[in-house]
Amino acid sequence: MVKKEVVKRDIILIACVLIAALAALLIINLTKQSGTVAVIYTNNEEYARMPLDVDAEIVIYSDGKEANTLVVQNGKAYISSASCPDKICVNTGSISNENEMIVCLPNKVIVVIEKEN
Amino acid sequence: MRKTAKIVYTAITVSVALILSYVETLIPINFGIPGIKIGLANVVTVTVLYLFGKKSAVCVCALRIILSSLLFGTMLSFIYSASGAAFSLLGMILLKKTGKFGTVGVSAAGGILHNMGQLVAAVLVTQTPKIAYYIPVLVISGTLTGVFIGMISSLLIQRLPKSAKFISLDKK
Repeated sequence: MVKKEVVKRDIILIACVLIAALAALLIINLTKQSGTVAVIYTNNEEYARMPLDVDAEIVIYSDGKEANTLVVQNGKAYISSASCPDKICVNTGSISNENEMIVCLPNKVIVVIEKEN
Repeated sequence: MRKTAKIVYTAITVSVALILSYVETLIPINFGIPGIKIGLANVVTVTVLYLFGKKSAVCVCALRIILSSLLFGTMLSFIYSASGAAFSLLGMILLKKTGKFGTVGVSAAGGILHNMGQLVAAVLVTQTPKIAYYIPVLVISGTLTGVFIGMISSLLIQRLPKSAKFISLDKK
């Protein structure tokens, strides 16, 4: 019956996409390296660079308003408070590997871990 | 008569979609990944796409996004929703047109493309191409939510009266 064919194609489509995505995720995870600095961007511009080996706390201002607070502790960076309602950046937790990032879309604040030599 | 029916059905489906977006905020599911939503309102989009056709789906989806952004959202949330919906609707309409895939497959593609659309919007808004590292996570979550939405929609499509089809905007 035609219906069976359709179901089969659906499953093949979904399986292929999932396998490809899982493979990409695996590659990203296997090649990850710990970074050395948390770079903060606001409104598409570099705002501050926070070395991960120094414990610190910084209040990030975006559009002249207090937007987020970034904490660096034990080699990891996390956002401890945010002015936006959804708190997605706070819930992201802490990051320490190269290219890992915390994104706060409402405040246009992005924190990316980079590696400096 | 038919015109009135169209207006009424569009209004009802838009209301259902709006209510579903609200109901979703009441469900305390944490996926452990920031920014991931089920997107219950898309049940309406997919169901309308199959029952009433593509014009109705575009119309209902656009109205829902405009209304929910005006009621609960911001300019930014409107950009993200609209971009996600545009990608997702275009993909679903094209994939449905091939006739080779079922509701679940079409909806899964819609889910993935919805996330990709939002990612494109996020890259443009923040000017940070590095966000692309999220693609695998977004593809997986989009597939899972899309399959879920597709399953609910296919149950609805089977059960809703076929007579509802007469209001399709696609047929003259």
